[in-house]
Amino acid sequence: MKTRIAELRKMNKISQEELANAVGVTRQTITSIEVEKYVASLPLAYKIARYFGLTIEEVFDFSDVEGM
Amino acid sequence: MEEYRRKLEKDIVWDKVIFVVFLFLAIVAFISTARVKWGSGIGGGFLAACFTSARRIKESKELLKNEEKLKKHYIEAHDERLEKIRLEANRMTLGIVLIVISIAVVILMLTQAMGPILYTLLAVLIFMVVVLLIVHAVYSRLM
Repeated sequence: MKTRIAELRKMNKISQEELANAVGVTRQTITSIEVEKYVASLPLAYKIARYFGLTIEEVFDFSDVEGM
Repeated sequence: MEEYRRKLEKDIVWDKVIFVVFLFLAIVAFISTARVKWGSGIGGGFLAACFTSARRIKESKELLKNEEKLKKHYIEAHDERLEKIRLEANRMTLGIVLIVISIAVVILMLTQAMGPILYTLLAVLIFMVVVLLIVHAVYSRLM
């Protein structure tokens, strides 16, 4: 799933480590989400979106999800 | 985090119990199997369990003293991606083991090598399938 996490991090000058610590996952998980190797769960997606002060839809691209 | 701290403290208590029990078993095993061939292997196994629990006690105590390490450990223990990797690895391992045992059973049957090996493998296979079905039924009710 495509996300805007890398873009938002760069905009806000936040490292993967900082974001990972803030949402309670490892840095590798953030990397995997950014490179579309892993799809975040709903609670994690919510935490990430809330961290940036955005909604889930503004951070995660659901256009690839079947039936959307 | 406080909940995790309490969990680690509980783990330390359990590890201490495991350490004492397995140390006792190791001593008994070493004494009682001293004259038996490979007997010391049993004692060695118990001793390995002792060392493992001692190492876990040391690690847990170190984590409780260091807030930074504790947080890192907590994140690693609860990271959803790592949890998914563990689940997938377990699922894959179980599948491979079931297939390998099934193939072994079929080969033994085809070669008509009826004997304790075939019966043991067959019993293990049936047991695994039954456990799998029971666990599946339990989780179906829970979720």
